[in-house]
Amino acid sequence: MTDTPKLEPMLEMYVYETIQLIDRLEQLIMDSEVSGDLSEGMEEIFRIMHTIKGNSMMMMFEGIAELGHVTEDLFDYLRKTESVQPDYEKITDLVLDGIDHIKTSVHQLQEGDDPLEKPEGLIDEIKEYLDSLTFMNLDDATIAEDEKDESDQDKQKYYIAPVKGDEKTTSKPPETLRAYEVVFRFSEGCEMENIRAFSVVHGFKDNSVDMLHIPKEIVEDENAIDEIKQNGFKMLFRTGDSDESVRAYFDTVAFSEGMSINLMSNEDYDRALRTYLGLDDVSEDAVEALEQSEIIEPEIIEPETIEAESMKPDAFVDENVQVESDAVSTPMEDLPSQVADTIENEIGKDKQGENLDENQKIDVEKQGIQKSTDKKTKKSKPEVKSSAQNYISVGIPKVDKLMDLVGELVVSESMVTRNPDLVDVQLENFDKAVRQHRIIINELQDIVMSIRMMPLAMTFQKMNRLVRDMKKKVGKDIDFELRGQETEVDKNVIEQIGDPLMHIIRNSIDHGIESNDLREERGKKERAKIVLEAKHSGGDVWITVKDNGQGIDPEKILSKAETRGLLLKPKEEYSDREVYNFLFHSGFSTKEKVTEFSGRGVGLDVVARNVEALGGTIIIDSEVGRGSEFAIRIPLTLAIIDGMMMSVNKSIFVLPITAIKESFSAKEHDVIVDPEGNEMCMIRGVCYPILRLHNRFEINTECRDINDGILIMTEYDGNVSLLFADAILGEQQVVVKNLSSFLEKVDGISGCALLGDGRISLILDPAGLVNM
Amino acid sequence: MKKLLVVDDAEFMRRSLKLIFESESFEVIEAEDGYAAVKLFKQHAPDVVTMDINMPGKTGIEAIKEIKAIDPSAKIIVVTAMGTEEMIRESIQQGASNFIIKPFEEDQIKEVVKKLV
Repeated sequence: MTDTPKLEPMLEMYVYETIQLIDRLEQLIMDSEVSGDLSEGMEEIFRIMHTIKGNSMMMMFEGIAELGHVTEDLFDYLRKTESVQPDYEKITDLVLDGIDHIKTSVHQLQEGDDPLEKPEGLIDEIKEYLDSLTFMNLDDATIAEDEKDESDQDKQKYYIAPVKGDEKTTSKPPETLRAYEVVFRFSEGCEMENIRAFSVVHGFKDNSVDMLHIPKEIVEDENAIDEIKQNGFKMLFRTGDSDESVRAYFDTVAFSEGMSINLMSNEDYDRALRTYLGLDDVSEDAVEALEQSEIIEPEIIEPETIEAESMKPDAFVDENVQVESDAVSTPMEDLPSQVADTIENEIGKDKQGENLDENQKIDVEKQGIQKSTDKKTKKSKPEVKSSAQNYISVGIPKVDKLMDLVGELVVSESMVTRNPDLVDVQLENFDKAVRQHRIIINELQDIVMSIRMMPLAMTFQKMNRLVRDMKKKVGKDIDFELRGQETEVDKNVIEQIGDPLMHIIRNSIDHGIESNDLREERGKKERAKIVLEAKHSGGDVWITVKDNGQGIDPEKILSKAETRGLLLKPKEEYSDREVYNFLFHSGFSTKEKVTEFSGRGVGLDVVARNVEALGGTIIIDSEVGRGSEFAIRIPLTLAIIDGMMMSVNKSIFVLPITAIKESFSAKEHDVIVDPEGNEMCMIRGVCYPILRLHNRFEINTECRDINDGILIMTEYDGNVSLLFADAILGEQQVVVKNLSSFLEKVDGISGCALLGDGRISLILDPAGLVNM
Repeated sequence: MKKLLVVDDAEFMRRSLKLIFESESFEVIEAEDGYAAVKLFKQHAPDVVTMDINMPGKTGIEAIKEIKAIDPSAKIIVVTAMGTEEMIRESIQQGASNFIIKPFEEDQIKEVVKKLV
């Protein structure tokens, strides 16, 4: 990623999670469209929308939240209703539109902007569609009103709190019971004051012998909310708890204001109780007569039996509480407002959380990895827990550091085992230990390299989406097949390969595949098809796009190349392969019209460059009338290569061992010079060109006589070259580092390596050395 | 240091709360569903728990029940969206100490949690 602004941590987390959810959602919805069956993914889609809604609400992104909400409602209905016949295409379209909106919004967030405006149109559309479904299912209306099954039996009227068999209160001698009056308000904007009150009451239920509160009805009655807002909430109760613990409890009431806790005399309490209940005296019978009161053990302690100490409110002065001695004797209806005015809480969000070093994370699978080598692998099947998978996020710098260290470890292991001190020594036990050591290090190397490897699945899914959208727009029937999605490549490749692939596929749909009519005309019975495939082969990954369209006409290309003066030799001498390569020239396009998708002639050259940047190559193959194939070959990231070191004067070059066929010293009579001055060497009856490295890289060396140096036969893609160097220094494992971007790219050099002794060597790229 | 157990199936929510409370010198333990919640509660004995009651599988309310069975004095704060009064009420009846509604501000959640420890 280039210069994205640093996001504060919460926003970054939101963006990260939302992207994951959206990608998964897109996959689900596209799969269901193809299979024609929504039922499998429905549950998960519902949960994803629910999560997106929740997260977006937290971040105050109303547009996304509401979009999530209506979509969640839709899927909630769908998953609960058996008899509904959904219009899959419509639903898919709606969801995909929603996905697009969210994607764009998230992208804006990443750029440091606000998300998009609320998509009113789309939200209404979804609502309307849901309405149409419910309307059709009015007879099954019971489903729409499901949430009402909450028990009416649960109505607990807390006139008098039931006394639980609690040792604290019942075993205490009566004289230690105290009566309290507690009044408080809830702070502005805290919502659902009635239920908050309920939680306060419920939480103290077990600690009080009896209790009453105003307003009486708090759970069922929504008017209670207003009442509490205006007049506050009042509780009167008797408890055996210590004063300390009573105050401690009410201290835990969140969002409370003006908490006032007063002791009452027992007479005052009784009076209050009577007034409250509308009774003259409190007796067990009267209490039982109260309807729907839940009194488990009606141990109402008669006022007479209490040896009440005279506890006047004035006797207690608590700084936190405004004590008004009249408080208790006033009728309940006139609650004194002893609460201080609410102070608006200026809640300033502190958005400067600690910023993470990198604004990127990669996920690391906890379980084994897939390797293409034949080593024994610990490959455990990932748990199918749908959206909750066994991943942890790791910052990229850590992974890079880990890779560097493992690279150095491999090289240093090599330095130990190939140490000159040990050259002629026979050490059996040592060798065994070394072999074991090697095995472990190799495995470590493989695993670490695979950390950055991820399956191409996500990228391929994007292509799915592209094809779907495009084929609708151009009106062609095209089957799109994905193969090898699970093939893993380095994260870097995943990021860079998307655009090139998209362009190639666009080309295929636009230029390659004929229109339905044209196909019929030409007698092409089979359906138009594009296959996107990925597979490992050798040390490379091959990603191919193959179609059964009209192919590429070499004639057309040659003509165009001719008009542009690009031909270096007569037309007839060009092989098909070479002709196709013209397509990669910038500004080259044989399409007369520039369509929305392609034909501007700036595409394929950029594609080629992108592929090259990944160290790969792209090959085109085609047959007129039958179809075309674009194949991209990308070497797996080889952080460490086995190389052969060779010297040219003081410079050291490393050539990958895989490219070397053989090496030998030249003898005069084997060397031939052709009329144009090119040196060649005859090996077993075949002539191979000699490439003098000192010439190629302009190095001054003493060793110019062909007999003094050494020839190394190098092969690439079927072409052979004999490299001439001063001397071979030996085999060495090296850690490949890319050349810095400020250095000009040199043909024939693919990178550099740090040697064990601290010297730097340049790594030769066979591809650049044989194509002369 | 006080321990907070955050239970929510959305990673974003868990991480947000973790951020908030680690800066308040809390040790934060994360659980992504009801099962993990009960298991981790037993393991870590946190001072307070925040519980999302809209989780699939073992719901928050069941987890509250089980946690309260393990430790009746456990302090549980229910986290939920608007429009779930019935669930909140049931949570309270099962022993939740308080509740907070999404979207909430950082200061609000801090107040609720701190009041309980």
